[in-house]
Amino acid sequence: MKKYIKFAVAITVVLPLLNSCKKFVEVDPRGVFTESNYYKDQTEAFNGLVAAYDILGYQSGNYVTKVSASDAGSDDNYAGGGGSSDVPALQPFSNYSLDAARGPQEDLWSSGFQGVFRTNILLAKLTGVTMSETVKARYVAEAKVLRAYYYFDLVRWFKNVPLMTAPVDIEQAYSIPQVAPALVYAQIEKDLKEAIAESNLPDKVDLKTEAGRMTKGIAHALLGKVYLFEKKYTEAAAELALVNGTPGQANGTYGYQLVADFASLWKASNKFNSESILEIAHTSKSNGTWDCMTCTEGNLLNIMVAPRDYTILQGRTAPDYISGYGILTVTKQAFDAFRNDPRKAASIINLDSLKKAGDINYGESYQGQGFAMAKFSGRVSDRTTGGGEPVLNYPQNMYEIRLADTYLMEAEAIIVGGGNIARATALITAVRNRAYADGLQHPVAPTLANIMTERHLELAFEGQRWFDLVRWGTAAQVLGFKGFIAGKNEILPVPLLELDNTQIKQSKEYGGSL
Amino acid sequence: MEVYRKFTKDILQNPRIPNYLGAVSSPAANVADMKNTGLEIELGYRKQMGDFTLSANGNISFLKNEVTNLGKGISYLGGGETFQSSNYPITRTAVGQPYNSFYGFKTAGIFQTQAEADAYTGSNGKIQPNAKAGDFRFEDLNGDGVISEADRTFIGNPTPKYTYGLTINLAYKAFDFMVFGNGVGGNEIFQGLRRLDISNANYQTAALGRWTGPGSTNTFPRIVNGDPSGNFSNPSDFYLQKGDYFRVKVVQLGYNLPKTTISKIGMSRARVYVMSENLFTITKYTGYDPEIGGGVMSIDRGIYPQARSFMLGLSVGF
Repeated sequence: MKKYIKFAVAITVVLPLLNSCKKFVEVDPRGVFTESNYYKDQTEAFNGLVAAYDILGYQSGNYVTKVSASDAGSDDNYAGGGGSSDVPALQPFSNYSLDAARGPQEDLWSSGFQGVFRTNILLAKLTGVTMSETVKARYVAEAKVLRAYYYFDLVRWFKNVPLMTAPVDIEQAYSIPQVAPALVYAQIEKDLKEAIAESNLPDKVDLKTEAGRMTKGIAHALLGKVYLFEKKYTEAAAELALVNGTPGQANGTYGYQLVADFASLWKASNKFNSESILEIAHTSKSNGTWDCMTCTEGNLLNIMVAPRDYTILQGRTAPDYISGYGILTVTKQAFDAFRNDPRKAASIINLDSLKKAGDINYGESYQGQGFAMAKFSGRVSDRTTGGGEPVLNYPQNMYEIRLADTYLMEAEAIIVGGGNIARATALITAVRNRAYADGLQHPVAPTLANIMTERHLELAFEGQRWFDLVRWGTAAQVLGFKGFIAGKNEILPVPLLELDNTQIKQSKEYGGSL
Repeated sequence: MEVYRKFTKDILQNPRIPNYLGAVSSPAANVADMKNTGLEIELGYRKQMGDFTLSANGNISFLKNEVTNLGKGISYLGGGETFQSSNYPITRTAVGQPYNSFYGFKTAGIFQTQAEADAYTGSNGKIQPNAKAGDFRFEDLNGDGVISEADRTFIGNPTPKYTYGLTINLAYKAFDFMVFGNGVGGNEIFQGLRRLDISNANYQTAALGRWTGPGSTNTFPRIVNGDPSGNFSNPSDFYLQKGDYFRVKVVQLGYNLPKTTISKIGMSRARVYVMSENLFTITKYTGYDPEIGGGVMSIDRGIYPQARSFMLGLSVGF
């Protein structure tokens, strides 16, 4: 018996040892979700969709957002801030000393591809999720609009980008090449057309519960904009006409209408108004802190662009702007461009004149000329009363596309590409009439020059200007005073670190081979 | 005495993943092989002469570190340690080099006159078109006539070539004395105490000896708003200093009170001592503290220096 016991002990001890030698023990992680066991049901699919949307509001720890970067590169702003070495990611774009290592490109490149990655994962996983098929079809359409949006920005910023429409296998991770921009544009068009063809993508959403979600209206507007950048004017005009409807009147299908008061567009409380098409949401309720600037859902632009050391003097009244960082200070050129335009006061704060009137005091930004952005300077009344770091939690939303923009884009497509000139006139005039809002008619002649002026004044600081100048081919002339070099600065360099151990090549504009 | 050659395989690292893949963090992977060759010597000495006792212990170890493999076809890891808003990463881990070697530009003095800067030309004309008198002359290592990322090279080794320690104990009758010191040699430290992104951030007093006119200095460039020539924003050998130091970590002097005295008040043992930690350090390094712990070896982002302390103590036993 004793012998058997020994034998049994030997077996119980030795056998598992033999087994364990065969391979490493693999334990599924507990208490965390892994990519392979997620996306089981509709809730998890929805969470994936939220993640894909999340990158729309990307703001980097270097103060780079799509809007801050394109403003820095435009003739309306200097990078500004506290000195020449403040906001180091924006300064090289502002003074056109961009190279592979310096500029906003790393944040823009990585955020764009984070968006692409998240939509690709979602699209790949959705097929296997057990959920309502109609809801699933809607998610797929939304993801496609998002992917189109992310790629549209990437191809405009960098021209030469790798095109990925599915999650990347680890074996291929380092060997993905860039493709011709035409292929990227073809994919963008394809994604948007497929989304538009999907009956489960709604024309408009209930703003109480689903504001900010993708709609057919957004898809048409984005596709029209894409066409315009491709110089496909007829197609652009056709898409944008669907969005715009009758100039100056409400669009029954998608619900868009110009708001009556231009200045009201910049009130933080006026979220998802009738003019807003694609809007990027911010909130004061996410309690963001300095530990993770990219995590906050507050609008960083509000604190960035507010004038430095802004204080209202005792016993005087002045707008309640916050004291901010004075980044993206407004140029004299921008101020002068407005002349007596009624949109001037809602667009630009004339700090110099407020100070001379004895109402306020302020500190001049680096390269400052006495002006700041009125559209996006934070307001004391919007300061969060909740947790988190107040300066990182201002609530103003950003318009990515709004109706005045699509009016002017359609008018431009008609003027340049041919079409109903009377409609083009009506579209520009509607924008201008709204600017004056005095009940009178302010007709504008349908010329490209007038479109350029109107877009400049209507959309100043909204992140459109730099792209517009490049698209019109006037960037070198308008931005010459900042050092813009024709044939080079129409795109950003591929970030230096992307070239390490990959197939990615630098664009020839920046000394590379593509 | 011990001689060793140690190969480390599959070192766990977080290799940089290209951003186009959309990842926000780089997961760990077994990526690097490394070779450490070294020599360790330890010596001791003890001598008693009547009431006087002397003992000394010393050790020194030499180390040579080399990365031998980073995976097929990969000669260096992407990324590297970053330093504030510096234009480029400041380190690179590459095959054939010590782990995390400093990587950057080589400077060759300062342009003393504008004529010198203008005369620094290559195939494309001026090699540093933004340079003015007082700016660094960066070496155009690849000879293509421009200063670009391709002109960076390995400029220093963060790992000390040798580290050593020494302990001496002396005792005479009721007195005892102990001193312990240690040091390193043969490494470079990246002296990054100053913030790059604030143009009016304080400089160390070394900036008083900056370039102010022809012939003033050939080592510290002019200070100018915007740093258009990248004197400070380009990582270069300017930031590197020798990390050699010897530090007296502990000094202690003690006295044992006579047993006959203390036994009257019921004690079996009583010793009073004075002690100092970090009494002094011999180094040419200009940062706060050459003994840089935590984070990454030999990158000084302004670590809090160790305090010098003095203690007076009494230990008793009953």
